[in-house]
Amino acid sequence: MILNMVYIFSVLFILGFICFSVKPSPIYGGLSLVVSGGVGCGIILVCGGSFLGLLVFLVYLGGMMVVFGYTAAMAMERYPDTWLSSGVVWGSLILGFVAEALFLYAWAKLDDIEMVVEFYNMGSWVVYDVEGGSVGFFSEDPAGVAAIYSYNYWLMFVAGWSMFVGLFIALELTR
Amino acid sequence: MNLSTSSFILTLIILTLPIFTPMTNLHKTLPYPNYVKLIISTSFFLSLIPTLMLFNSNQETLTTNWNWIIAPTIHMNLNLKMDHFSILFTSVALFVTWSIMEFSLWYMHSDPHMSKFFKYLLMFLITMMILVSANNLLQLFIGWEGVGIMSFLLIGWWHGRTDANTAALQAILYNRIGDIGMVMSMCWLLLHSNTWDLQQIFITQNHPHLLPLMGLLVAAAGKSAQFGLHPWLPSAMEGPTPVSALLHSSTMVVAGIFLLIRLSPLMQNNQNILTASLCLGALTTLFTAICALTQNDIKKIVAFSTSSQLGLMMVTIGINQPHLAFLHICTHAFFKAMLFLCSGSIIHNLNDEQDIRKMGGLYKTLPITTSSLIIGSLALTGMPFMTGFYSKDLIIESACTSNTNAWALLTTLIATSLTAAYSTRMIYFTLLNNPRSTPQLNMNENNPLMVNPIKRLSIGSIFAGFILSYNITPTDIPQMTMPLYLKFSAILTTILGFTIAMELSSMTLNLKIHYSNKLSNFSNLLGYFTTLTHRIQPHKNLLTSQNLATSMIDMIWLEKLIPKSISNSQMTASSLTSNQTGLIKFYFLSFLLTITLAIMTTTYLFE
Amino acid sequence: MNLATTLVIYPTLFMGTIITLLSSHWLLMWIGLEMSMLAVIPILMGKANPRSTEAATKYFMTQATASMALLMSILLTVMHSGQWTIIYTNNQTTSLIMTLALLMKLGLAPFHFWVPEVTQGVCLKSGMILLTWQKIAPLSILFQISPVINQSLTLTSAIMSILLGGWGGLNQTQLRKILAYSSIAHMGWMLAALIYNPSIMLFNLIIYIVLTLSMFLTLSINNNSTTLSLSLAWSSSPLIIIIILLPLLSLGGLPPLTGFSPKWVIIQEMVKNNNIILPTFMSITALLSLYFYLQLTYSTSLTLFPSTNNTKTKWHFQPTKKIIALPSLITLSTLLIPLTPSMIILN
Repeated sequence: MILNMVYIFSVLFILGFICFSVKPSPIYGGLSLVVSGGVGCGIILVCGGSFLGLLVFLVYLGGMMVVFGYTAAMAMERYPDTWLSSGVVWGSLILGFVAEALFLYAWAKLDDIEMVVEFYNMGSWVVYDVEGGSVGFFSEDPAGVAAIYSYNYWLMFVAGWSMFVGLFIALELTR
Repeated sequence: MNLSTSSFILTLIILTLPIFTPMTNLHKTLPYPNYVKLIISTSFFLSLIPTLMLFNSNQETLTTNWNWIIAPTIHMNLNLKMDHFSILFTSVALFVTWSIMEFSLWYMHSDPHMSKFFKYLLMFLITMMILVSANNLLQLFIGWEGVGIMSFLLIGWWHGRTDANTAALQAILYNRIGDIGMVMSMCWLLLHSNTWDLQQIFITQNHPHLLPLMGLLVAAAGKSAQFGLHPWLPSAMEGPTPVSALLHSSTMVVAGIFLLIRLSPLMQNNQNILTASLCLGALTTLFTAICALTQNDIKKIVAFSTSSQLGLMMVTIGINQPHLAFLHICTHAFFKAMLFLCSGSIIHNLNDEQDIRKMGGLYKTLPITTSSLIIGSLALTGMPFMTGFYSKDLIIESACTSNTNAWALLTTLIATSLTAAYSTRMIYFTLLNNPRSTPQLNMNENNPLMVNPIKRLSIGSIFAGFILSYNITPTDIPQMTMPLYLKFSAILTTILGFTIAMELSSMTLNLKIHYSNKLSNFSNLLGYFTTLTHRIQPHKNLLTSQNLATSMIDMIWLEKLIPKSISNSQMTASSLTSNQTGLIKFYFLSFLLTITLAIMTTTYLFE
Repeated sequence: MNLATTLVIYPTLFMGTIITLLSSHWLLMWIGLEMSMLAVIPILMGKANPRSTEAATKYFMTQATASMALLMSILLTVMHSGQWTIIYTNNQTTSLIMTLALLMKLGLAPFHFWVPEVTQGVCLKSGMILLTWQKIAPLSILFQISPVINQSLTLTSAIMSILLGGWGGLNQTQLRKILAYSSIAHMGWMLAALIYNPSIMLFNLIIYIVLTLSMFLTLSINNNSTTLSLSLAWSSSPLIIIIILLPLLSLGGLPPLTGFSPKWVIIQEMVKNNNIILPTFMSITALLSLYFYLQLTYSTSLTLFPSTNNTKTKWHFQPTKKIIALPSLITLSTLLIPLTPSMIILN
């Protein structure tokens, strides 16, 4: 079940990027980005990174929605380019499928290629004590977030500043 | 102390006075040219002392005056040799030069640089004296080169004219070829006998190698204008007539023959070199005589006759009779100088006309010149009991009776006959018949400066041979007995030449112009020798050099190969590498290519 | 650019580089690079005309690609070593990708195409920042990973940079492009020195920055952008004849001037390491650069181009621009050579 889901998600993921990169109109480009972003978060979720997956979906996709909105607003056309408009698009799409089929064939026949389905670092759980003597479990990644906030606040500061500056500069440039 | 030595050295030293004192007041009372002439005549009379002593007692002297260089292997002295050759030649040369100087006073009187001219002439003479009196090869070489340089300056005296400059250059260049031979011989002798003193060389080198002898022959051929190196001599007629006279009589051209005479002990045992000089001399004498036949320039005729006589001298060297050759040098000096002075007189009187076709009938207007010219020509052809007879006849007799090359002998005899022929032609065209010159000429020979030298030299041309050969002890054994037809062969060929030339001249004078044929062209154009060696050869040479130097070295090597190719390749590379469309697609393509290549090469090829 | 923007952007620009220089953490170092890259984009854009927008876009794209590659190699390093501290990685591929990413950032030879285009697209001051300050951070990373970088790749890139920098400049009449190509060639020299002695690379960087600053400031006196305008600049400020001559020759590396000393030291260092062919080749190809510097010198200082009479009288007017640092910079860029030994020791 999980393997099937990962497989379907990753096909969608790659398809989304192919769709993005073969120059449709920005609207559809943004759309495929959103799709592949969502699918990527889905893969993380399936592999067990529930916190990270959700976080990325919220933060990244939240930002991406803004981008999508902007691009849709900026590149407003009456008849936007779709993927159907060019033979090259279909050619590359078919090429991509052929490559994928070849890869699957190699995976099925040859031994030294294995599929990584585990998302090792994120699935582990941490055991903790509380004062009352009871023992509890929680996921590793929220602990990492807490650690960042507690003793790596300078990194947070720099990262936050650069995020701000990035946004600021984007606004400044497009103003 | 012997009077001979001191008077000889005094003769030489006194000659240098005008060189050292042009700025002093010594000759303020007398114009410089006259002063020079006076000095030379004084010197001549002084030189008579050793000459008479030589005649009287036949003594030879050698003086070492100054120790010049002491190198580890060579000991060089400044030493003078006063033997038969140098003493006699000094007197003759001084006598002839005295006359020429006096003639120059008349001939060059309108020249703005007359003093310089006289100084040059004097230095020419002095260098010849150095050459003649040298007892070692270094001194001889100094004189040798000095003669060459002074001839260059004097031939190019009228350097405003291209022809004169060319002729001067030609002379010095041909002499350079001879000098190479001279230097080569000197080097060889220095290497193999460690000395340049003549006596030591003669003692140590009884049978020298052919190489230095060939060098000497080349040197003599260059200086004395033997066949192959002869073209400078007729060209040297571009110089003033006194220069030609001096050049052809007592200096310069006889220097080469004199060198061979001086070094004849080296050559006398080598049959090869003797044969070579015999054939060279014979060829020269015939060829130049042929050339003289059709020349129309009076000076050129005389010049070619000199060349022919030099060939005869070379023949004499070739039959191993250096003393005879020397005698011919001395006798030749008199009549050749006189012939030149006569032609100078004619040229001047005809308002600088040198073409014999435009002369004629001069025997009425210029009687002294005419008679002198005829005397000189007769002496030249070897008429009995004129000066030339005493040497030329002996030479031909010796050649006839010696065990020698029949071809060379025949050639010489033909040349002798031709000598008579061209002399006749010159006399006939210049002096006889009716005048063909422009009528408004004020011809005269009243000036004693012109008449006296010619007179003196004509007396010399008549008697000098007799005096010299009467007084000199014969050193080489003369040929005493011979068949009558050999005895008369010289005079018979000469008479034959006279007769034929006379007949031809009177026959052709009244005929209509016969346009020149090939044979006449051959003779008139000097056997095409000048064209071949001076036009085609240098032209090809220069063309090749130009192609090599300009096209190949300059253009290909120095321009195309390095600077132009660098600039072109850099320009091409520059435009190839930096002309870009500025499309970001290509930037990323280059990124992709580079990263792929770099990772592939470093990861998979080298590991 | 208004004051607020300036106050945000310039500190970010300087802070980014300084963070990169100071950090011992791969991620923070990368963030520093990103910050300075982001901050320089509005500076490049300036008065947002299409040309400068294009230049800024090109700069952003290439730098972003390089950053991605750098981040990927950082992640690979972390995967292999398990820690984020900047230590040498033993994985050849990882260090290769990192070197390539940094070469891309610096605009060295196979990745050099964007440098002249971007520099030509922006104004002189922005170009100056681009060609000086922006070189510091990537070079510092290269300095830190210098023991493990791939030698043959680096030397190939160095030689190619010197050669292509020389060739590119030959073909130019645009001053900013010429300076960009000169920067490529100088970067090549630095990269060559990096293998043998990284301190010499720093020394070269310092000298290069001084020289380039003085060149750019000199050009900005009259806002000259082409050889032709520079050749007429004497009329408005006659002193330019002299003050452009010496820094140019110094950039070319002529002996009595400062620019000679890094070349000298690099060649000496390479020869000391028994590498003779390479410095010979480098110094020969430096002649290409010298050629176009001399061309500039010639057209500026040694000849008077034909011009109308009106242009010849502009020297009457007082210059309005005050360039404060220029005298000291020119002094530094011409007279520093006697201090070469002590500067090497300082390194």
